[in-house]
Amino acid sequence: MSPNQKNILIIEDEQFIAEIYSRELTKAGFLVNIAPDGLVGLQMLQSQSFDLLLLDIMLPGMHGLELLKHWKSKFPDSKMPILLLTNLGQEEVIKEAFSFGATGYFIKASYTPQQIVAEVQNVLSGKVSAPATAQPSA
Amino acid sequence: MQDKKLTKKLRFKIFLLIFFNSFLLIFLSLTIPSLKLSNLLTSLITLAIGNFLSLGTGIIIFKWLSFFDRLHEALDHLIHGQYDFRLAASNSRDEFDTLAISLNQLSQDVGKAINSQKTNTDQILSGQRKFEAIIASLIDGIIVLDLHHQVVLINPAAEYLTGYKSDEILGKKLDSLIKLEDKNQQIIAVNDYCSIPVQLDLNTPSPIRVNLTGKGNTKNEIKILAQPIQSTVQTDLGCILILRDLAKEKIFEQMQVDFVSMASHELRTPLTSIVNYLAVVDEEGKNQLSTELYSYVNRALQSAKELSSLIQNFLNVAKIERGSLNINAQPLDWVSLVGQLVNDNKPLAVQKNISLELRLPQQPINQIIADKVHIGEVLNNLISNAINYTPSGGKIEVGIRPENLEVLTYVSDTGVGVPKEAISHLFSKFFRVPGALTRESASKGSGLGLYISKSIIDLHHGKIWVESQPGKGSTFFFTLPLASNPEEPLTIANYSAIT
Repeated sequence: MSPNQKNILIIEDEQFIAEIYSRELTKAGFLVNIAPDGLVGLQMLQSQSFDLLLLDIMLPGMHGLELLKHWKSKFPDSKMPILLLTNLGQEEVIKEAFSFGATGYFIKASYTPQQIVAEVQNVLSGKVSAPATAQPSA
Repeated sequence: MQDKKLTKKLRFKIFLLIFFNSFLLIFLSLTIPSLKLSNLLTSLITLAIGNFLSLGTGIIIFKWLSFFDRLHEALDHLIHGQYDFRLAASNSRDEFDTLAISLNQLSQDVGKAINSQKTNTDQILSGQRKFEAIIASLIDGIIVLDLHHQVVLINPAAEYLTGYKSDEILGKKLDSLIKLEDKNQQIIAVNDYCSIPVQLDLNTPSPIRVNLTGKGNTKNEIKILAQPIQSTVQTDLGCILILRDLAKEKIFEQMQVDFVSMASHELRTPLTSIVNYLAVVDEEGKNQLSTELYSYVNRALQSAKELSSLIQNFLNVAKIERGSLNINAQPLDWVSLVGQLVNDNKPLAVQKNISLELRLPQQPINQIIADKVHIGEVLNNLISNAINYTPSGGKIEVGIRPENLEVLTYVSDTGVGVPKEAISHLFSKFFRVPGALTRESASKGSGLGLYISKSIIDLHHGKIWVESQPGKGSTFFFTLPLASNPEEPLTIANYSAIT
């Protein structure tokens, strides 16, 4: 792992989706880890440091927001950007996620993997600060 | 042990009695002249009679004493709570047996009374424990007030909401420790506590939302309902206040997923894979697939994207119908967003050989207050409608104009236009202009786009309308509020107050 290579964790229970995101992000030069559920994800978060987290909301067992809350309460000073992946269209859930400190969110079905890569690159280079859009910008 | 002691005492008493009697007789024989005991025989006889008499007395007294002993024993049992002991008694009806029978009866009655009291106490305690367990398990807070508005009972949930432990609040007047304010920040007086809410419908009172300020100025938003207690005369109880923590309810509501949201989520899950994998083949397969196959992949991807957009529409309509479409209005750089969306739609317009242009005003425009996601949906909808209803070779222009406290945006096309009769129905659900669709545009759209767009614009306190000439073209207009001062953006709430 080269010193400048960014480390990304994807917590997503849908294997197809996790793999395609991982493939595209790896192609773009990131180091990618996948966790299939909240508990494994939390363990990985606590044992390694990551430059960005892609977090699915509907996870088996631990709800994505619960994980987010848990993470933020344990590591309130962490500056790791957290992007939520969801296919839920409920703004209340999204609003709550932002109140817990999420950086942005995507509706998975509306984004191609290339667009996700672009958004990840934007966030990591500090271009996007406030809530990301549900509809891709490009 | 005790019996032996008693027996020893008795023996001693008997011995004393005999001894005493013997001496009495000897004394008598010495003092009474007629009883001169000159010879030994007479003395012995006298002594024998004396002993016999004293023995007789002794036996009688022994019987009495042993009865007292048994009495003592029986009472001892009673004292020590053994109500089962019974004195042996025959039916001779002499004083001893009568007394024994009465004492037995007493033991029996006392025994019964005490046992039944014990059972009652046990029942009461168990009942009370059950009651306490139930009250403590309630998620809702319970505060019971007496007729003087003093707290008589408070459960753990209510302790949490008020910030006070039961020993801090019991016996005190409730309004001395907490404050209730309704949604207009009016303080609710303690005399009204037991009549929350004002019952418009006596059959089903419904709770009202209040802000509760408790210990240490902690605030909780709750729903509160008062239930009068039925038998106030006997209990001196006023009412029960039921407090529901809205913070918990909100989280619960969010976790609850209604059918449409769940269905959309379920539909989107496989769709996500379809979109994603096709996108990758679309990007990497150009050189590996034949032109024909590659174009198929492209078509599949386009359809998947349309499906995604359709699901979004259905979800939006469901939310609009429920009144739960939320606008998260923020200051927005409208000019750059419009530019972005026009660019996004350019490929589709080019495909149909339609020109899509953006016209910006000379002066710069301040930020607007809008929900980026939803307002983007509106503009996308208008532009894609324009593309669908404009024949090949046509022109579409998107423009922005500041107007007082608002920004006017328009999408103008040289398309088929909207007939006059259709204009009033244009923004309703599932409406499509009959006969307006040409072969080129096929059956694009679900008829939901303008309905959703209008709902979104309405929620932004803007206006949306159309001007059209059949055969010539249409222009759709909508307005959005400007941030009056870039440093101090208006929120949607403020904006509605001044317009």
